[in-house]
Amino acid sequence: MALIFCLGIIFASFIKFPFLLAYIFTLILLLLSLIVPKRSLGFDILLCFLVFLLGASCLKNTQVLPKHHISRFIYYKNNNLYTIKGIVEMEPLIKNNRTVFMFGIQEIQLANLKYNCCGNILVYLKGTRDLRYGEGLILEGNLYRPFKKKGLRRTNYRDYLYNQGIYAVFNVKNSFQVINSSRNSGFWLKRFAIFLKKEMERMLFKYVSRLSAAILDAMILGERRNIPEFINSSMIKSGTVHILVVSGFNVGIVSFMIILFLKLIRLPRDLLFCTAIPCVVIYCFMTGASVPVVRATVMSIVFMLGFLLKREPDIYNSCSVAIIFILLVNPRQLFDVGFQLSFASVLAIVYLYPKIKSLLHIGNVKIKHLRFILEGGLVSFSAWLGTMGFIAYYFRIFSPVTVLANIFIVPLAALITLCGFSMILIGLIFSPLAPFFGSTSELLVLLLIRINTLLVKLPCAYFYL
Amino acid sequence: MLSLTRQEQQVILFLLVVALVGIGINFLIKVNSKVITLAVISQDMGKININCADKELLMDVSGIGQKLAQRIIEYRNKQGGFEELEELKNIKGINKYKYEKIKDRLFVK
Repeated sequence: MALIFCLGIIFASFIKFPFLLAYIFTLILLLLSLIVPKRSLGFDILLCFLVFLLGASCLKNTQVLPKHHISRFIYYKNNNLYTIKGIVEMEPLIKNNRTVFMFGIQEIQLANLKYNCCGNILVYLKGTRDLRYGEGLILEGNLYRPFKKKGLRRTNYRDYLYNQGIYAVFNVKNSFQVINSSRNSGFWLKRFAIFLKKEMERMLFKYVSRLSAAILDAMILGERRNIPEFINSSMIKSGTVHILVVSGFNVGIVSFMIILFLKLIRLPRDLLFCTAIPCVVIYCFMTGASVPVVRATVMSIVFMLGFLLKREPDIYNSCSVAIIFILLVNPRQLFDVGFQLSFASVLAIVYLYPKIKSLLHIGNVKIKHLRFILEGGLVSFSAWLGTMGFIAYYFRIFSPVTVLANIFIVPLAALITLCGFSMILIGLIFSPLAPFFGSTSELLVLLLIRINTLLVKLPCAYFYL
Repeated sequence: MLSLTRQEQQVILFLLVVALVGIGINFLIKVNSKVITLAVISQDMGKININCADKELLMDVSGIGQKLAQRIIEYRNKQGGFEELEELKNIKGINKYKYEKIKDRLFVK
């Protein structure tokens, strides 16, 4: 179903037709499928077409913008100053002495007329300014469409922003043009999650050196702004950069730790899952709710609900639910690199790993440790096979060393994540013990950097295409 | 082909109905949205219209005293009103320097 839904989105992205046409056809098919006998082949075919058209309608609907949308206020060759009022929609990033953040517009003022307005824009503010999610601001500056420049990736910047639902860029020349209008707006759960994140970050930077804390911050909380460029490029070359972003792997570890902790305090099974689900959702908000995290969160919730309802969890079904959930909210995510890489790796591991394992008779290996290493290698190999095409297309890099690197790096990353989490928890409960966990994390991070540097230096480790 | 149970078929159909209704409502909200002019910010806000202002109001402007306010009103009555702000320079007591000082507090309508 998820595959047919995706095909509908792809079809609608290539063919031009109005939303209403797709919607009316979908309605007709829905009515027919309600009438047709449920046990016939005709019903199945109708259902497939229905899901296909729903995907197409979804994408076409996102292309219809309200009359007071921000994109309708951008005039070509217009250098006038705009005054906008709205709220900060995400935690600001500091990049090249500029504060960058997503801004949800509520009002816009052009010359001496003030209008109601909606939509999200990306704001560039010169200098660094301490802004928070949910903060109300009035800004003055220039508004323009994002440029169509192409970077190393094949997608252009404008399309990338459109996929995120951002239609315009706003340039505030100096911080005097920023007026704080109100505080404490935004979704309370997200605000709470960001508060927790700040506290955890404070803990990380207190007990570990700056470099290790930056890596732990990226691995545990998805905050990559402090990572030095040489570490980032070295990880890209070895194909292990995925450990520097919060992914399904981290969500899995968090779910595991929460469940383990709740089991230790002997919480009843049903209550255990009911408590774990909100915790996973909070963690999702803490890490910025990127596509891989949302995917993993939805999948883990489906799994937990499966246990709660005493149903056998199925990885394909939970993956499909995650795909449909993400694409219903924003169908354009289908064309996002993060979405493609995230699902390609998961599906490759789920589909290819058991097949290759049985083909190579890995299960027959008698030595337990060797079998464990071989299995780890096969998981990396499957993920590499699944994502190889996308990485070569978007990043123009081919890294044969990825499989070998992941065998060493992934278990080490799991250990570092566990150590980091433990350090934060211990720091909260009994702070004198935290430096010991901090030292272990530091050692593991240094080991990770050394191994990665060594692997990148191997002959034929990576090629630029 | 899809080998769905009757219960699964019903759940899928229900979810499709909900999704389709949701998309329809979302579309209608967007189509029926309007650009509302929330406010017209006047450039003349806080300024005094010299064609309507009385003596006391004119005297609120720093640089205009009792005598000058009286002369402005006399000039206005004689000429039948000001057409542009620069006409103030024709009044005795308003030189170039004085005009520059008071012009930002006055307007003509």
